[in-house]
Amino acid sequence: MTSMTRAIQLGRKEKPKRGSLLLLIPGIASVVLLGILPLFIVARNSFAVADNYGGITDGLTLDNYAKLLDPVYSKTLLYSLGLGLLNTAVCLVIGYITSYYIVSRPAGKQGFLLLLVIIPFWTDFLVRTFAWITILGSGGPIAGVLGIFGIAGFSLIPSNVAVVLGLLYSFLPTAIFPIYASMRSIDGSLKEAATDLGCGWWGVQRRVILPLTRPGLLGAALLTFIPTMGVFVIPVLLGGGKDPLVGNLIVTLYTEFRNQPMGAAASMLLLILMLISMVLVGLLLQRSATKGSSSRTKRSSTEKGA
Amino acid sequence: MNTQTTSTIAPAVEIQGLSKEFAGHLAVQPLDLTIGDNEFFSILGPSGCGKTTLMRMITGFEAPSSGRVLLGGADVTAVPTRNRDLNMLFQSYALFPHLTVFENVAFELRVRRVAKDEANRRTREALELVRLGHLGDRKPDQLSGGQRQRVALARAVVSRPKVVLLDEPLGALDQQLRKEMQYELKRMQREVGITFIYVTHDQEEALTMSDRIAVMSEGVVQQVAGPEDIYNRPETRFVAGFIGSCNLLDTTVPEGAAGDEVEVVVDGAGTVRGVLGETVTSERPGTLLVRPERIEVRPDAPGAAGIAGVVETLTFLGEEWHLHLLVGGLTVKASLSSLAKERDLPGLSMGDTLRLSWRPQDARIVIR
Ligand SMILES: Nc1ncnc2c1ncn2[C@@H]1O[C@H](COP(=O)(O)OP(=O)(O)O)[C@@H](O)[C@H]1O
Ligand SMILES: [Mg+2]
Repeated sequence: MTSMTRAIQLGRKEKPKRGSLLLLIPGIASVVLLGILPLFIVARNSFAVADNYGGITDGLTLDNYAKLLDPVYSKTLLYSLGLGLLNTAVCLVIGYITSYYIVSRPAGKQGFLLLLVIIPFWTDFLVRTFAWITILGSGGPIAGVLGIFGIAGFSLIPSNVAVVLGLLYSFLPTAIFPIYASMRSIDGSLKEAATDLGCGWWGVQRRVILPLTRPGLLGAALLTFIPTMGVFVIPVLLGGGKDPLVGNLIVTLYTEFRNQPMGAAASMLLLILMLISMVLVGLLLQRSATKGSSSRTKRSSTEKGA
Repeated sequence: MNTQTTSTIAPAVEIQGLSKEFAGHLAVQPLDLTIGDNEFFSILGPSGCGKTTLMRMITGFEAPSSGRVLLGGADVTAVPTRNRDLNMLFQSYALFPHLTVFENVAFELRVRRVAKDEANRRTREALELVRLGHLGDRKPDQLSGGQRQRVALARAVVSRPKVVLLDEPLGALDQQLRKEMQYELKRMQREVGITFIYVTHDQEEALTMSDRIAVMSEGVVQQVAGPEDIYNRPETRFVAGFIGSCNLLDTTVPEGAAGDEVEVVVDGAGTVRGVLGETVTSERPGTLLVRPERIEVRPDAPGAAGIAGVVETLTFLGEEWHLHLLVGGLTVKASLSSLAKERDLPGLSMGDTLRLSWRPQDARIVIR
């Protein structure tokens, strides 16, 4: 630190001393020990041959991945992808609307509204999921209100509707924050300019706010889509475990089936999907940065053709 | 529309009894204004006097507390902004950062579903008008401040609205560019033949560009007139003090005074004359307004006309000299062209006594 300040004061670069390299060691060590090493072990295990008890033996095989293609597992995979897409879509829509509302409030109130979004995080996730069982279950407020109208025996627990609601509930805050961050940086006069130039409410959204919120929406999608597939508590508690997600599959493979190599392969699959979607989002962001000029070039070339 | 037949003779904008109240404070007091077709009309006043609020009521961004706005003879008070035949040029330019220059300018035509060929042609025309035809593919953040300004202008005029409103559009530019853009804006306004309502706190901008100027202060329109009249015949103390440099000499207007050569007594200075715009029925406190360059200074000689003043300061500014003269207990500003100084007062120095006079029509007396 002092050597750095001195380097700045002297206005020239100084070679980092051995002392400052030493300071980096705790950081590097924790990244290696807590991040890279476990990841490496899981990756290695996913190619290992299982012994009769599901333990790891040496060997090198692609069998574990091949077995994931078995209809039993690929059904879970497809179902998870579908549910991930659904949850992402709903989170983006509701996240957009919520962010739009928060941004339109006076600056002083925005902090309070964001706090309301964060507060649930202060309670344990499991406890919150149990709260949903109460809300949607046979003894809950919905059942109570329906009971007044003579509709008896209502319960959404267990059901896929409850799973969807539970997923939405747990991922909405994660979706709201990046969208809100994007939206907040949009100059308010752009909205007025669009109105002035003939846009109605929907036109303002479609032509101005939505395109400018794109980075936030893509970020939110990234934080929602794959993580949804890895959830395992909600399908069990709210859905009765009938339709598992990849997260449940991994848990089952590791614990019940005691097949560590296949569990590792399923984990790696999620990781690979995550990486692919990150690359996709990266490409989409890049495209939106250069999009304007390319579409203009296209137009002028068609003009010449006509 | 049934106003079709009258719209050719109806003024572009009529404002009737328009006012705006914010939490008990009248930002704009009820006012009337009529702005003609193809007019370059400026609203001039210090910061916070209600210019933006007035403009936002004309565009429809702000609902008035009272009064009406007429556009081409039709009452648009209840018409939403997007259906008013006017466009606004924002101080921040408000260009869409995700669209190219071309797409920004074409924006309104696309929203209003103008046929594609037609829209492209008109967009190119608008870009030519602001001399940016070659930069259509750029994004706004790849442009200089002056270029952004031009894009914003092209975007505002591309649909040929009846009125374009500009809220301190040159505020963010440097001095050199401001001068250039003043001239350019005026040229473009003539070329497109659209009414411009131009908001500014810069008197020089208003004087050089406008056909007419409304001077505002604290939500009240003080005077509406052409630049020459605003400058030479200010009707209120505020207008005289705000625009250019002016001597404001407190006086008392005698009972029954009226006409173009009213004599009043300025304490310590003596009897002077000026134009009184109204007839006063009883003695009233007033102010005599006279611009420094309208005061003639001559060497003091026994029996010379005018009031006597002692030179307090003497400043050379190139084309002219600025004098501060002590007249009785008052300081009076006068200016003198370099030519006149050399010819009539070659040896002038501080402490000299001079004779000050002006033609009655060059001074105005207003009631306080
Ligand atoms: N939205 C608003 N809410 C409350 N007061 C406002 C609002 N907009 C403007 N004002 C007040 O109205 C007065 C005129 O403001 P404005 O029209 O912006 O003046 P100008 O454009 O001449 O600088 C100011 O005192 C300002 O504080
Ligand atoms: Mg303003």
